[in-house]
Amino acid sequence: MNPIARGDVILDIQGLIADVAGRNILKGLNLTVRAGEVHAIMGPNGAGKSTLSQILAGRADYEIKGGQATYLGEDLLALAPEERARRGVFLGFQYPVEIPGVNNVYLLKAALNARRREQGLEELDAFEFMAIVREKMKLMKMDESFLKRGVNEGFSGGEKKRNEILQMTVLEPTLAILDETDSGLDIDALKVVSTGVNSLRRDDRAVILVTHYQRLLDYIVPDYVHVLAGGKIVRSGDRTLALELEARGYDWLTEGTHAA
Amino acid sequence: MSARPSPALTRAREALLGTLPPERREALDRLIALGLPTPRDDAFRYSNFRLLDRRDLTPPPPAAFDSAWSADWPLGENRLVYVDGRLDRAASRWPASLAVVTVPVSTSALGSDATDRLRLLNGALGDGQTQVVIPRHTQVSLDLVAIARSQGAYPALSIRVETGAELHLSEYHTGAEDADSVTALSLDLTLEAGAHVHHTWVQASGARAVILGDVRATVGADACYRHRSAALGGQLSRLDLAVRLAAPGASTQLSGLFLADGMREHHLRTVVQHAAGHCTSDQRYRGVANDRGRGSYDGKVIVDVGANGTQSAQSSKNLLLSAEATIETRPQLEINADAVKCSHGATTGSLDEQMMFYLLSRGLDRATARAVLTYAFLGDVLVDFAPSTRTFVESRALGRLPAADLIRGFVA
Repeated sequence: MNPIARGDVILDIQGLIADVAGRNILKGLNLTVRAGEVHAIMGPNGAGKSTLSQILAGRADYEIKGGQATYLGEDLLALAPEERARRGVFLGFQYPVEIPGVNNVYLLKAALNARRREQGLEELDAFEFMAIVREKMKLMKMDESFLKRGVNEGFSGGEKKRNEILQMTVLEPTLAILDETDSGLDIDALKVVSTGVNSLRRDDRAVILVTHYQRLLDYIVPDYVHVLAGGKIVRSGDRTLALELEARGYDWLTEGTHAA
Repeated sequence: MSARPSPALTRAREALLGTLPPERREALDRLIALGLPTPRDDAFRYSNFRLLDRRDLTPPPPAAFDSAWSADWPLGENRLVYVDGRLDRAASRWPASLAVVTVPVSTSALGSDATDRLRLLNGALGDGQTQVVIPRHTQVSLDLVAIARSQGAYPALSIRVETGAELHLSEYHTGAEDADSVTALSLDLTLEAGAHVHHTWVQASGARAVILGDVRATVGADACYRHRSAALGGQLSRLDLAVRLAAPGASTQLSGLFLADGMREHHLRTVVQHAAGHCTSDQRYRGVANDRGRGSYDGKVIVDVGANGTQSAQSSKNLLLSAEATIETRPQLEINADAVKCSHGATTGSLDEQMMFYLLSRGLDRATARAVLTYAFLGDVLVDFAPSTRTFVESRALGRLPAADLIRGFVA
């Protein structure tokens, strides 16, 4: 594959329609994300933000009824979740799952090596791997004891989110989708998480931030802001749109979407 | 009791008639009259012994122990080695302070209930009971090695652990992969005041083996009986644990795991009787069934009249990895005293979909993710095993899981 250059299309969603348990959630969503960009997707609760994140990561209990999503020119929706991850799609979970008994750092190592195999790179040995993890943990201000614990086991809400971003910084995804990573974070944790996300920004990568609040965007400045309401992107703009949303709420945008 | 005539027992009687001493023949006739347990016996409702019909239950000709059989086991210095149910004194070792004698199995006190009927096998076809005394205030580690090559094996033991003594008893069952053996081991344990017994049971037999274990422990004042079990191999295995907490301050901790893959069956039945006040019992079991495997946990806690201050907990969690696998559970509490603290719970389910998706979304393939989650499920009982046994159990357990080589590092 050719190297990705700034401006190349990483993700292209056209007319995406999706149901959850027989209920139509996404109603013809369009979104194009190019290399080097950070997109914020905002919107009221129940608009379909998390649905979109989960569909892009490959969760099985959504039914695609129409439209398409291509990732680096490939049909994203045809790929199994693990194939998407290996090709560089990363989902930062809104509610990271606790998996007692599964070691946090081994999962991270397996994840990284799965990605490296896909890229045709050699697997890292334990020493090389730990060097990377230690550096990223410093960035995320995480204690070494995290390495020995089970995946998210007994972590506080803030620790879980930091662990997600740690995984992301180690895996260096081409497309990171962060689903309400800011929810439940105090201001210090928010800054740390933002540092992690900003460290990932590069000309050959893209980030989608799904958030309910403008606050996160003070620290991770997006190139584009979209409003997702009623299963569609109803407005797009630059970061001033987020400030406007903070001042005016969502109602002025969502009125009339039912008729659309 | 209407007995189903057992063709295997009838055949054994014909084969052995004339060689059995009168009291053993009498035990065999009683067993034939009463019949082997069937699912109609409440205690055996989940186990079906019909496969014994086609087996040869007679003990095979004597053979000496071959150390190659246990080459990769974490054995210690002291051991009682049973080959096809017969104590091999030449291969066994124990400290000089221990009294070890063999006596005929007594069947006179046995009744007609299902576990007693199984014990008639030891009386009728076994080679006597090994009696061991652990002297007061001593510490002994003893391995109990049971090799079953083929046909029937009926080891019987009785161990008295005197006041303040401590016994680490590690019981290993194994045999060749294709050995069509039937083992029925009976063990009576008496723990005097302040005695401690750490009993580990590891069953890693071949795919055609039948392994039945019947342990009856009486626990004295401030004494503690711990039992850790790992049922990994065999075609059918069953463990009956009856623990009687006989004096104040007695306690027991029972925990373990089973992996029922292929056509394997693992059954576990526990009866814990709180016969005195201020005793504690704790049970924690994890079961996994895959393919067409079957398993059961049937646990009963009885709190006698006057056993106030009882504390008891029972937990059985089970995981089904295929649509055709089954695990049945029956945690039971029978409380006849006030001021008791008892809890019990049993769950059976499949792998957590959210956990699966989380692992997949990190790039793990489906087979690895399943194996990792299955193994993690067993984690909180694996920690109960002593380190050397744990390593052995883990390696054997991993051998029963798909993608084993991929997941060794994952366990927290």
